Amino acid sequence: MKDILIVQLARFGDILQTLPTIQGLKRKYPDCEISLLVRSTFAEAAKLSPFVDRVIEMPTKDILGPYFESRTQDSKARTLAKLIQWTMTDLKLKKYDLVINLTYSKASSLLTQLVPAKERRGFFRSRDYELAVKDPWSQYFAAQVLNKNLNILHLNDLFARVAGVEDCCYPIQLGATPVVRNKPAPQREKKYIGIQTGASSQSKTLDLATWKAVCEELAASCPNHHLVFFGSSTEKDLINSIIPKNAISLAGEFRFQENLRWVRACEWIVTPDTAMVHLASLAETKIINISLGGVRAQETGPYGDDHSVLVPKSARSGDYVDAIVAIMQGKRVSSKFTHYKTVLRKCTNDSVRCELVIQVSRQAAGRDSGVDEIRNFFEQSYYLLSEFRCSGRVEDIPIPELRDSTEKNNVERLLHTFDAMCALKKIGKMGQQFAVDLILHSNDLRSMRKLSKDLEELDRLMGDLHASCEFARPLIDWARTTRDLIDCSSDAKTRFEELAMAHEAAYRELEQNVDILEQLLQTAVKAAQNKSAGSSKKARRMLDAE
Amino acid sequence: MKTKDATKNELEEMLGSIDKTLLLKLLDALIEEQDSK
Repeated sequence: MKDILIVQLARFGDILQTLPTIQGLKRKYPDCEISLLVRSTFAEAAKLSPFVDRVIEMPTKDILGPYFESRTQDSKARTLAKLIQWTMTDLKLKKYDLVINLTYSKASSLLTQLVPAKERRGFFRSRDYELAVKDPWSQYFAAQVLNKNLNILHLNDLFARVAGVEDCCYPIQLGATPVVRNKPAPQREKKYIGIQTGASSQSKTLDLATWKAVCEELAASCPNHHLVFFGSSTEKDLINSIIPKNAISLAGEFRFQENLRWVRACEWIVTPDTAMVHLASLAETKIINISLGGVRAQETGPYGDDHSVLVPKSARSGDYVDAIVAIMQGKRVSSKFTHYKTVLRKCTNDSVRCELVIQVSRQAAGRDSGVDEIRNFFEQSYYLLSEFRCSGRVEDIPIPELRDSTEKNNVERLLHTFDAMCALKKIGKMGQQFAVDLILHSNDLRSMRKLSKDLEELDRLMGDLHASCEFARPLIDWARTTRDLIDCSSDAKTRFEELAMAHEAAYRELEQNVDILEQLLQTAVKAAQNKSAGSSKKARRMLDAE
Repeated sequence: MKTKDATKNELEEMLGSIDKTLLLKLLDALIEEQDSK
C-alpha cells in the first residue's frame, strides 16, 4: 500500500474523529503516503496529526461562489470552470492504491469516484453513477448509522474498521502542541475547568440564561479552579455576557488547533456536542458532555476511559451544576439526568473500542439500574453480529443478559420481535429462491415479470416489519443496503444478473443474521428464566458453532 | 491559466479523460448540499 487518500468533507469534529484511523493506517503501512481531503474551512484540524503527509483543501465556498451570486446558467458554467481547475491543480487526480471516503454524503461519493483508485471504501458511484458501497463496514455504516439504528460503535472505532486498522489506532499520538506568542498561556500551578458553550445549532446546547447560572454556580462550587471559556470570535460577546469574575475568555484568541495547549491544561472540559468533545478526547482531558438535541453520544460523544455524558431528563438550570460537581467529586448524579460513562473495552484482536455505560442514579442506588434490558440486549447482539459479519471476528463478550424478561411489557416486546424475526427468515428464504429463479428464467418475460412482482411484494412486507418492529429494523436496513447499493455494470444483461445475484446474497445473509440473533435471544431468555449459569455462557462459543 | 480566462476549448483540453458526466453530477451535488445548509 503506497498512496492512500482519505476523503473527509465534514466539519472539525468529523476530521478529528478521522485522525485515529490515519494513525492506524500509517502504523500498518509505514511507507505509505497519506493524503487527507478536507474542506478549506476546517483544514486546521488536519494539522493536529503528525501522520498526514498531505492535506488537500477543497475551497467549496470559493468554487461555488460564482453560482450563488446569481444562480444563472452562465454563473454555473463559471463555477464548473472553477471546479475543473481545482480538480486539475489541487486534487491532481493521480492514481491511489486506496481511497477511503469517510464522509458518506452524495457529493463525497461522486468525488471519490472521480479519483482514480485501485480500491475504494465508503460511498462511491457505480459505472452507471448510482450510489454504491462495497466494503462491509461501510455497508454497516449506511444501514445502521445513517438510519439511526441500534449502533453502539463509536465513529472513531467504526472509521478504523472501515480502514481495517482498529488495532493500531489507540492511544492516539498528536503532533507538537502549537504555541502562539503574545496570547494568554496556561500557568502550571493553576487548575482550570474548560467551558464550551457554543454548538453548531442552538438545539445542541443550553440557553444562555442556563449557561450563565451554571457558570456562576460552578465558579462558586470550585473556588480552587479557574473557568476558561473556549469559543470562536463570533461567540465573544455572548461569552462576555455570561462569564463570571476571575474567569478567562479565550473566545477568538486562537485558531481551532491552537486551543490544544489550553485543553491539555484543563482538568475538566464541560461541553455540549461540539468539536471540543473530540479535541479534549484526543488530549485525554476529562470531559463532561452535556448531550442535547437528540445527539447519539455513543457514536459522536467523548472517546476514552471515564468521560461522562449527561442527558437531561427533567433537569432545570440549578440541576446542571449539581450533576457536574457530583461527577467531579466521583459521586452519583441525580435521576434528573441519565448519566453515562465511557469505557474502553478490549477486543479479541487487542484493539479497543469505546462504549457508553449507564450509571445508577443517586435515587436509584441499590435498586433497579434503569437500563432498558431489551434494548441493551439487542444493541449488544447487533454489535456481536456486526463484528462477526464485517470482520469475521467473534468477540468474547457475555451473551447480553435479560434479567427481567419475565416482566409483562418485556415479554410482549420480545414476542413481537421474535414474530418479526420469524417472518424475516421466511422472507429471506423466499427472496433467495425468487432471485435464483430470476436468473434461471431470464429468457421468459412472463416468469420474470411475476418474479419481479414477488420480490417487490417481499420488500413491501419488509417495509411493514420495518415500521412495526424497532429491534428488527437493523436487519432490514442491512439487507436493503447490501441488496441495493451495489457496483453494477452499465451493460444491461450483466447488470440484470448482478442485481439478481445481489438480491440472492442479501436475502441469504438476512436469513443467516436472523438465525444468529434468534440463537442469542433463545439463550438469553432461557438463562433469564432459569437464572442458571447459562447467562454467563460466552457468545464466542455459540458463534463458533455457527 | 486563470479560470476566468479559460475558454471552452482550454477547459476541454484540461479535462482530458475525466468523466464529464461525473463532474457535472458532482457540481450539482455540491450546490444541493450548500443549498440545504
